[in-house]
Amino acid sequence: MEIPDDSFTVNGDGSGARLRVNDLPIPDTFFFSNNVSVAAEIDLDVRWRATAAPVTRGFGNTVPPDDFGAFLGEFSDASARGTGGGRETGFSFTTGSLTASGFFAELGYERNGVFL
Amino acid sequence: MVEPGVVWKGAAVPARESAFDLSMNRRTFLTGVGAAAAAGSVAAVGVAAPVGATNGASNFGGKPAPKPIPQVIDTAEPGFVPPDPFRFIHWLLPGPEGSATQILGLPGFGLDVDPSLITDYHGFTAYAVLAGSARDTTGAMYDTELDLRVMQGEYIGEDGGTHYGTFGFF
Repeated sequence: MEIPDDSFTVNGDGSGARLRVNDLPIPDTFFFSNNVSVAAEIDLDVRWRATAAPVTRGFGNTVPPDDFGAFLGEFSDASARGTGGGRETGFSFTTGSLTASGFFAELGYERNGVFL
Repeated sequence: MVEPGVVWKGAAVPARESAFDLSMNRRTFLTGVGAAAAAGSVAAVGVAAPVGATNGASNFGGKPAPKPIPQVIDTAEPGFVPPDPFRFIHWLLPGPEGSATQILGLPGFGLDVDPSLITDYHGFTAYAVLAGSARDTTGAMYDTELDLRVMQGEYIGEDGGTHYGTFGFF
């Protein structure tokens, strides 16, 4: 979904980024790939910080367009942490500290589709 | 796990047993796991588009919608029949091969996997699967997992024009 441009800021060298949204309207679909939704709002404040130098990822147009690697990017593995919350009629929640340390985060510049 | 035949707000949740469980009812999962463990779980996965539709049609600033990536995954796992037209969705999960997300156990597809969910796109992408805890208004605590992506840059929209915008996947 489209979000305000100024809700997302990137460091000059691309080694860090921050997302801040408050009361962002979003459809809550309850479960993945559902076609039923209700109006909800979310708050998020999340920071990414590169933990390694950028590396090239993706295979560009050397693979078919529907290949998972049909993109080219300079991505850095990253740490990511933040907090969030959400609300809709009859339900709301607030998170504690969230972190990507248990799986994966990355950030970087990329291109796909006709920009390959 | 989700109980068979759970219906919540009119949306039937098919019962299935799969490590790649994309159709879990959020609050049912909270309740079901919470009953068996000290903490429940909330899977704050976001909006994924069926084939042929745009990922998140919301237009915050009225910019033309981007196009979803052409790549799709097939959610038809054994024991699960996703409702049409949601069998194939434009969603990939970058992450080290052999790893899995902390709460739901979704497997990483590898690192040479596009984290963007929009195509004909040239910009800056930030991606993370965040995990932690959350508390609802009753004071109940839950485990939380959130697939978060931000794509900011130039894109060719469904209208065929070139635009600049910022898009989030929550």
